[in-house]
Order: sequence, then structure tokens, then C-alpha cells
Amino acid sequence: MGDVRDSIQFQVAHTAFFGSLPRLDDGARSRRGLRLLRGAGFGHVPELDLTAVGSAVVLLLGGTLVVLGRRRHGKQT
Amino acid sequence: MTATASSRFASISPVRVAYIRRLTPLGVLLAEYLAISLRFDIRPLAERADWLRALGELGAVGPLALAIATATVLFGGRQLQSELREALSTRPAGKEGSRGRIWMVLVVHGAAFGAFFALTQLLVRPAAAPSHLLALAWAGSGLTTLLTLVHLVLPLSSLVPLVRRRNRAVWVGAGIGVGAWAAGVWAERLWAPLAQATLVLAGGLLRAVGGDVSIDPATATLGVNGFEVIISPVCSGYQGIGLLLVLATAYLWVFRRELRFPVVLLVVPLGVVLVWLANSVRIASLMAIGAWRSPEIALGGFHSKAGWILFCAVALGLVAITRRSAVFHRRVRAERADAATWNPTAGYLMPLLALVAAGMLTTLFSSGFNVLYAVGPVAGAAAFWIYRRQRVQPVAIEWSWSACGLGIATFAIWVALEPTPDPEALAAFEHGLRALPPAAAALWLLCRFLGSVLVVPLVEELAFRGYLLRRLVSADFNCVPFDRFTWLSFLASSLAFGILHQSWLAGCLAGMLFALAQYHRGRLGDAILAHAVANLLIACSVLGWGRWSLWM
Repeated sequence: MGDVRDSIQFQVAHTAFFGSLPRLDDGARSRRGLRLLRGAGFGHVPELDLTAVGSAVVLLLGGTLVVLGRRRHGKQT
Repeated sequence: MTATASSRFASISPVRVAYIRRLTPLGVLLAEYLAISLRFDIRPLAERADWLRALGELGAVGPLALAIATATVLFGGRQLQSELREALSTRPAGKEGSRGRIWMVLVVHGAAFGAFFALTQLLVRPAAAPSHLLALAWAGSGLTTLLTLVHLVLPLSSLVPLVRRRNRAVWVGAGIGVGAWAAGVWAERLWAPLAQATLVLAGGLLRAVGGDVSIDPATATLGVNGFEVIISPVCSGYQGIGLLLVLATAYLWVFRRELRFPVVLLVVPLGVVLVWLANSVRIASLMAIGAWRSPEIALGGFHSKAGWILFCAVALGLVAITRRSAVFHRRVRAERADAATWNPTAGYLMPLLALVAAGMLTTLFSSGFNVLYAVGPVAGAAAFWIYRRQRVQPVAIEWSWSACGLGIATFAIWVALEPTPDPEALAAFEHGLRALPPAAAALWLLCRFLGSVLVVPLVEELAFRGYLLRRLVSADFNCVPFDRFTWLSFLASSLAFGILHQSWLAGCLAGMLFALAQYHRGRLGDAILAHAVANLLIACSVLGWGRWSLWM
């Protein structure tokens, strides 16, 4: 059996799903991020490292949820 | 399965279900807006010589509309907010709320969005002729796309009378929104002067540590011992300041009843100054690393990650200070007295946060290969142990054939959907691993294997299936059984899990399969087991067949 990557179905599916969405951590994706946000009206967005952005979002959002969790459950012991 | 799911969905409060149903179109609108932005770059239109260039600036309409809507809701007064809540939590009467009408609006919306997408493709071609008909059709389809979704959130038959009744409040809100937007546009003039100030401060810091510093204010170039960079306006720290203002405002608003006003407002200027100083320190550190250690590290991992790390440190540090100081917070003394405070959210989320924070810190000093990978899993495992008493249900893992089967299926999907590896990134990874002495490389591989198979499944499943999946069912997630199914929590938690992975589609599908593992016997341990089996097979594939891209 040949490599599944050689099949036409795989190539079509891959192009459909990933053709316009390159990897998160390479330059191409960073430029996509730039284009996306510029298109959304933010002209001064630099070339973003979306992996770093994702990690920062997780930390900020997670930190907020932990603070909110303490507020909600703080009195229950 | 369908009947069970349906009855479980009905257990959520009807008002919440109504809110979710009515606000879902806003999520669709956001997704469509981002999809259009991702596919097309409209800004080149602004560089055209003909009248089509005016369309290139339409991207600014999004932030303006958002500013007006937010200001109207926030400053429109309690009466407007109360009427808006009422309108959103009730089903429209008569034909307006009928299924037939909703489907008709959805079909019109789909057709309008399809037309808008196709016409945008025609419009952004460099050789597009400046056709009035094309521009009119494009604007019309865009407006129809927007209005049909707004209509699903709040039918125009409800929205128009509401605006008429509360027109004064709406005008005030719109005025504030336009003012805020205009202030944002005007404030863009501060980019250049702020970049110059950052240049001077970073240069001063480098001189203080003995660097041979050269500064060219005209080109905003900073040099140390022959290593030179241009401090562009985007490196001025301006974005960090803007982001901090947004976060600080949201924090002060959400916790307004617990915080001491007006003294707590001091955190806003304090945060602005700290963010700017932190950015200047970041640039000085980048220069020092580039001049004295490695330009690749300075312009690689450090450049992209240091800013976010410092921003998170400042933002979360300010929150911690205001919550621990009686100067800023009303309940600090009471919480200190209640020593046995309990925070189950921390029990489920802190291991992931520790893993992510450690991962960010260690990749700071790497260039394509993270030699300090082991620090992340160790931090995650430590947080898992430290916060173990915050979790009510102990994490128990028992053998399950179904969980193993789902893990194998996840592995197959993951490998089939693996994106084509980037040759440069792959080469940097392999070079970094080969550069290590044999004993160190073996130790690195062992840590990577154990971290991937034992720690990562544990901390990710705690966060996504243990917390998020149940938190989306109820705010008191601790009372939600692990087998409680709702479409919203199932899809949203899987989507969030997928977005955080490089291969987003495979990540989403993996999240769904891990959730199914948990639903099957109502045990979080089964999701962890399925995840561990998938990661074990991936690790075997990497170590046995050299598919390093699966570990990048």
C-alpha cells in the first residue's frame, strides 16, 4: 500500500483544509495573521507569531478564569 | 443518544438557552468577517488611483461599529439595558419567531454571503475594472449579509421600536462610540514619538551595562557592538499600552463592586508605564542577546515571545496586586481570615497554565529547537500536585478498551491530517537535536516521551474536558457530571482544543473523540487514557520511523 499522502483524495482534502491555512508557527501563517487583522481594520498589526499569541491568550484567559473561580467559590469550604 | 442529549440540553435554564440561540448569529458574523479577512487583503485597493480606493478603507467600519455598539450598551442607561435583555431572552411573537421565517432569513443570508465572497474576489484583483455596478452589488450583498444576521439576533420589528423609544440613550452611546473611535485614530500619531522615546531608553539601558551603543534617530536604528536593529513604530510599545487599557478597563468593570474606587484607578497609568518600560527592557535585552550571544536567538524566539511574556507578567501582576492589597480591594481582610478558601477552577486550569507559561519561557532562548522542553511538563506536573486539594473528584485512571480504541482512532486522524512539514523548521529541529551530546540527546528524548505521554494528556484533559466542557454547561461546573452532554459544550470545547494545536482540524476531531471517551463511562480518566494512547502512538511513530514533524 502506498503512502496515503500520495492519494488524490488526500491531496484534495489537504488543499481544501490546509491550502489556505498554513501552519501556525511559520512565517506564512504569521503573514496570514497580519493580513487577517489588517483586513479587519487594524492597520498597524506587526508580523505576529501566532503561537506566542495563542499562549498569551491562554495565560490571560486562564488567569482571569482562575480569579473569577476564586470569587465564585471562595466562600464554599 | 438523541433523546438523552435533548433532555440534557433542556436541563440548562431556558433563559440561557434563549441567549445562546439569539447570540449565536453574532459568532457566525465574526467567523464570516474573519474568513473574508483571511482570504482577501482589501488594503491594496487603497493604493489604487481610481475611486475604488475608497473601498480599501472600509475595514475601519468594523472597529467603528463595534465601538458604537459597545458604548450604546454600556452607556445607554439601565432602562435600555433592561429592555435589551428582555428582547434577547424572549422568542419573537407571531411569524417573526416561526421556524419557516428563520429558515428563510438563513437562506437569504447564505446566498448574500456567497455573493459577497465571490464579488470580493472579483474586486480585489489587481486588474479589476472600476465598475459602479460591481461596487454596488458588492456593497448590497455585504449589507444584506450583515442585516440578515442582525435580524436573527434581534428582529428589526423589535430593534427599530427599541431605538425609537430610547433614541436619546442611543444617540449618547453612538456619540461616545464615535468619540472613542476618533480618539483611537488620532492617537495613532503618537506611534513615532513613542518609538523615539523607546529608542532612547533602550540605548540608555545598554550603555549602563557597558555596551558600545550607536543611535540614529532619523532611521530609528539602534546598534550595540555592531549588532543593529530598526525600532519600527510597531516596536514602540504602543500596542501593549492599548491592549493593557482594554484589559484594565474590563477588569475594573467586572470587579467594580469589590475594588476600592477611585484609588484603584491608579492601576491604569501604572500599567501603561510598566508596559512601556517592560517593552524598552525587552528591546535592550534583545540587543544584548544579539550582540553578545546569538543573533538567531535574539531575532527568533526572543523577539516574538518576550513581548507577550512581559505583557502577561504586567497584566496578571497588576491583577494579583489589586486582589491582594487592602488599598485596592474591599475583601482582602475577610479572605485572609477565611484561610480555607477553595478554588476548583485553579485545580483544573493551573497545570495547563504552568505548562504553557514554562513553554513560553523556555522557547524564549531557543531558535527552532527547545532544548529546555522538560521544564514545561515538570511545571505542569508540579502544579497538578500543588493544586490537587482544589479538585473535588480525584483523577483516577482505569483500563478501558473503548478509551484505547478512541485513542488509536485519534492517532490515525492526526497522522492523516498532518500538515506538510516546513523544511526549514524541520532542519532547525534536527540540527538542534544532533548538536546535543549523545547522553543529553537521549535524556531530551526521554523527557519528551514522558512529557508527551504522561503529563500533556493529564493537564490538557483537566483543562478542556474536566473544566471547559463542564463549565460551558453550568457556572458551577463542579456539580456537572462528566457524562453531561450538550452540543454547545461538546463543540465549543473541541474547537478551543483544536485552535490551540497547529493542525486545527485534527485537533478539533481529537477533542471530540476525547470527549466521547469521557461521556462513555462518565470518567475524566478515560479521556486522559485516550489522549495518552494517541500520544504514545505518535511518540512511537516519531522514535520508530523518524517522523520528527509530529513532535514539532
